Amino acid sequence: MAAASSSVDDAYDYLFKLVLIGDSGVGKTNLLSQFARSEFNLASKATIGVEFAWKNVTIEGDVIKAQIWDTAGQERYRAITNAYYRGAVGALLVYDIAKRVTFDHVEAWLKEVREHADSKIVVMLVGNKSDLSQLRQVSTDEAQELAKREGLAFIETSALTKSGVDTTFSRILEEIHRIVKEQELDRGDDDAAAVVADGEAVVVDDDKADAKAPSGGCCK
Amino acid sequence: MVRTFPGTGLFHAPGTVLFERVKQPVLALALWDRTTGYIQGLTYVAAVLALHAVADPADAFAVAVSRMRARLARPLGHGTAGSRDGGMPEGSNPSSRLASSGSSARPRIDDGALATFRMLAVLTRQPMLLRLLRVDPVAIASYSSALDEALRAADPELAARLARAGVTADLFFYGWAQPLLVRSLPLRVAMRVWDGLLCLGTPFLFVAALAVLRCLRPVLMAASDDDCMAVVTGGSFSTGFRGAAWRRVTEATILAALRKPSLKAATHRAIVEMEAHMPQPLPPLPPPRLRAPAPTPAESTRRSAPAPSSTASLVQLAQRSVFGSLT
Repeated sequence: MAAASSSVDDAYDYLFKLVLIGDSGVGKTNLLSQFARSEFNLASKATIGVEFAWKNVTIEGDVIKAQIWDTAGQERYRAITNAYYRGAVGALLVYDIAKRVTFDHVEAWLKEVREHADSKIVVMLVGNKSDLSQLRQVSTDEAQELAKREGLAFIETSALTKSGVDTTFSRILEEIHRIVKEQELDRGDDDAAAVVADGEAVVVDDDKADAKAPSGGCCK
Repeated sequence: MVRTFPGTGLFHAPGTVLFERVKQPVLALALWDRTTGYIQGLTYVAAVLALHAVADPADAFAVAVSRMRARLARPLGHGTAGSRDGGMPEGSNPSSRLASSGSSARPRIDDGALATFRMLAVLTRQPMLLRLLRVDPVAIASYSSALDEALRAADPELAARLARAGVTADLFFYGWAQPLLVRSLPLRVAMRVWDGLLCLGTPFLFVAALAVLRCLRPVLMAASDDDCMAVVTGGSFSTGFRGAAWRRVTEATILAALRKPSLKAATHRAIVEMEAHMPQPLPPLPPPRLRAPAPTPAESTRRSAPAPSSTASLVQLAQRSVFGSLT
């Protein structure tokens, strides 16, 4: 790639939109900043509305642009935040392993996602703050069980130590990539439209008006 | 609370003066106006008020805030926000009023907490702020498209660039406006915006948002689509290129941007016009009454805020009688 800096719209093969959801204070914003910028802030400001970040990753030779929307967790904000689910192909549902109530709300969040996002959205359950093991209130087994029951992938992370953070994002992106590839193989089957939600989630060709002359690798 | 002005450490320790001066008014407000309740973002506003809260009701800042009442479509009940002993209507029993001058046998409320609450109560009766605090999706959508439109009028080139990037105000206006820009901007810069806000009312938020966009303009014009999105959803607290973009918003640059008169007048008019057609966000709440604290045994176990100098908790009093029965 001839991109001069990270602030240039690089060429990419797929565009996947992810949303970060879960109760207030579970660490969504820090998971995002660790993944996108390798940063952690112990006293970050509460998110009001949404924050946005993006990062390119390579999966099986394809450049994936992950656009990540980090939403405010307080319940009051759902009236506006669920609009961000539109077009999302993946959701990271985050709870705090050291705060039971955030895990108890996981089912409510799932309901929220299933109501407002595409039915085929890939959801991953993320138990954050695994560094606080001495304060743990949610066992790994219990979360694993819930994930299994609800058909979700599951992982524990620490946005503080970055443990599991990259794995989280690469696992969900790989899963989405796998599904999209399968659908490409089955092309002609109208079902492909399901994950290509609203035609904006998966972009095979960067046709944005101001795309900075992609240096190849963009079109399939 | 910990996440209010995290960089300063001013508001983090329970029991310290500033902590209680933010927490108690915010909780008291949530009890008084249960429809709005507690919402993140309000602590930013309360923190600014607390920093300005002094016992003197003639203080310029307190006066400016209370004068905002004049602009209310529906006033805060029939009370007098500027009355001498705390700005709230008195109860029938003067000795039990929520003021600091009661006898020592009466619970005393920290003057600063009371002053903060008084200002917070007035400020949050502004219809625009109230709609934002209540997360009214219809109003928020209207406000967002109004800002898009104002930007198209003020700076068509930047508007076109953001539109190409898919960056519309519904992605960022709420996060900027609901905490009255205190979350996005450094405090000193935000206070420049508040000067206009207190003088001209909440429609000034739109003028301020245009001014912020003006300051960010060079970055937004040059950045990629995704980076535009990342910048506008960030703030002065951001790091990397986003933080660098927001560091362009200084007292000097925002004042320069705010001085564009045509933009200011037209935007202000448009917003006032639009608001005139919006449904009122609420029937007026009765004023917080200050009488008849009749503590029950259960209530004595409620949160006892370790406020300074053995003052009682505003929240305790609020829960007993003051606001609880009203809504």
